[in-house]
Amino acid sequence: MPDAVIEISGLRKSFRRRHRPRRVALDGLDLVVPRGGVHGFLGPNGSGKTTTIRVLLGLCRPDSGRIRIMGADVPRSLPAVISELGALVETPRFHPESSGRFNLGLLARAGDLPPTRVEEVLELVGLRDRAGDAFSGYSLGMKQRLGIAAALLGRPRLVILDEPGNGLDPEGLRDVRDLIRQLGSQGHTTVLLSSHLLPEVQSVCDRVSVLARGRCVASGTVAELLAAPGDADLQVRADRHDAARAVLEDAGWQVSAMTGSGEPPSWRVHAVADRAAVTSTLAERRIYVTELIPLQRDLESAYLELTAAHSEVADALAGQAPAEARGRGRGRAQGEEGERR
Amino acid sequence: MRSRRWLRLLTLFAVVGYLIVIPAIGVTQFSRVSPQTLADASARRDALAAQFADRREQCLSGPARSAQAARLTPEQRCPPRLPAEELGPVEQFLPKQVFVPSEFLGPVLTALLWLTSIAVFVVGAHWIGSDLATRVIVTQLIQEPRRTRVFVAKTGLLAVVALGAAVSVVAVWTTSAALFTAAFGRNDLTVNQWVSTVAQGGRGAALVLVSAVAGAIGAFLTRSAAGAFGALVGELVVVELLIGSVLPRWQEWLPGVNARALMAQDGVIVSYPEEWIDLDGTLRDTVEVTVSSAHGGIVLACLMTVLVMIAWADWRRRDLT
Ligand SMILES: Nc1ncnc2c1ncn2[C@@H]1O[C@H](COP(=O)(O)OP(=O)(O)O)[C@@H](O)[C@H]1O
Ligand SMILES: [Mg+2]
Repeated sequence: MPDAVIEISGLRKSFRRRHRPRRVALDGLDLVVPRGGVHGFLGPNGSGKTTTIRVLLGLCRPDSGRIRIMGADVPRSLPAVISELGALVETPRFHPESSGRFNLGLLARAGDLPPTRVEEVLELVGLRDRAGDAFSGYSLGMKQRLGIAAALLGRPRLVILDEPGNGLDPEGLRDVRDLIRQLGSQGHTTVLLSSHLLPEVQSVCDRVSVLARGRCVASGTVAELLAAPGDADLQVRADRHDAARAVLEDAGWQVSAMTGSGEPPSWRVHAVADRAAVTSTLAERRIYVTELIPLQRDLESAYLELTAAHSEVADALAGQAPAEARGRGRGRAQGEEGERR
Repeated sequence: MRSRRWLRLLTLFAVVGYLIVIPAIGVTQFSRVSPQTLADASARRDALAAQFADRREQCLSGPARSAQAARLTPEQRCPPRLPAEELGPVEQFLPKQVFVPSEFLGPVLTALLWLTSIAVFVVGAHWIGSDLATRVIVTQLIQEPRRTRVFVAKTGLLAVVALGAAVSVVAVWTTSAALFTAAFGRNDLTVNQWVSTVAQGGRGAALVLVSAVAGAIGAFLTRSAAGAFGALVGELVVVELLIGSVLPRWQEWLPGVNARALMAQDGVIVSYPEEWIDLDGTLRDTVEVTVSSAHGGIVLACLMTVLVMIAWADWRRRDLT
């Protein structure tokens, strides 16, 4: 048995649209989710998280790529492992006129589970008091809890939760976070937690994969992501200050002014792979560096940079509207940078 | 599940309605047949016959009313002798009609089976359509990802329920008819009529089955109950009328015509104008084609098979987002 519960390689999926080119949702996604703990699946809206989960569950057919869940090929062998799987995809879907308890009961009966299990999961998500009410009368947060309860019904070894925090109030968020942490720490269950909100993931996840434009742009423990080499920003000050900026931008780096770094402000050079390259580039033009500080980042900026840079790279490579509007030169420069990395 | 509550209510209405309506119809519309009521009816017939005889006697003994009448013999100008037996069967002189199974059994059975066909289409389309429209189907597929199995289970369950409904309708109505016959009627059914009633029930059950499957497929293909109803109405009203007027020769292949043919013992007759050009010029005539119930059954079965395959292929490959 391999040590990964989910292995995805080269996954592509595009959607047909009327009178328009196909929308590429997944563009060669690689993802490995190791067994145990909580794995964050982080990416901005539209980056392909839900599509990945749909493909994993056999709800969508991939165009190409290899997918394995607990060693079983998806979608062909999905039925063999489906009983070990629980999932909440996007909005929870239940019979609107029936109660939460009745809806779970239907699922329990279809899955040969004892009715007592329904009460257990209702208790677990804190929905027992309102379990007799019609689903359509639930608040967004209660619907979400019922969806989580349904995902946990069969004591799955892999739980996939797609944005479970949607619509929850702060208290509900905390409950769900605690629940996920608890699930991940039991050792029996692996949780794949998708979210576009960093704090939701950061506080509960052992490992994170970051998605942008249908690709996995980073993967590892939270600490690894923060320390990712090649992604560090540099704070730079030089003798010919304005010329330095022009030279660095010509060389393809993204440069911005750092507020609160004195007068004139230092330059922040984004996502530098090789610090020596910065100094030597400036030196070739006889500009001498007076200050060079690697910037410690938080996950927030790492996330924003990862996803933003990739969006622009993808825009530029695809020659799509946003990059064109921004001007070809810059788009190309960043494209080259993207390739260099 | 709204459909569940709705179904329960419908069933309750049907059962209660049946238990109240049927005896009410029996009591108000039909007459009990017993030696006593028959004796009363016989007396009424005798009284009427006596009235006729009276009038005849008066006429025979009285003078002719006109010069024209005077030329005829009394026998010629007066009403004929009408004994009681010639006034009609005793039953006609009961205060209400008698339940005669040979007249009622078949037509009512046909009407009930048509209603059942419509009901199972609505129920099937609503059941599957609401799962698809509310996307509860996604929750179900996360538990059972084998799409073919889900398709077969849903359509199969519907088919079983539809057949059960058809058999119940046949059983309940024939039982009621038997009770009616015992209470208010006279059993005049021949063995042949029993056989054709059973055959009628069988053909009706087949139509009910086709209708349920059509409802399910309509919902699977259009992804909603409303879509299935729309497709049905569009087919029956627009397509059939259009083809009936533009391409009348194709009528015998229309689903609606074949459904009627399947239900009717002797099939249905469709006609279309045909022109012959002979030596004298143009001669218009109408060609009549009998669409037999076997024809109807075979055409519907083939059509359903094709539609089921299309719906299944679409369902198996479809992205559920
Ligand atoms: N059914 C669909 N038809 C067309 N495009 C779709 C469909 N589902 C998703 N997409 C597109 O695929 C991309 C990824 O979407 P999604 O996986 O829902 O992102 P996320 O869950 O990360 O927000 C988006 O650009 C979205 O517009
Ligand atoms: Mg999503």
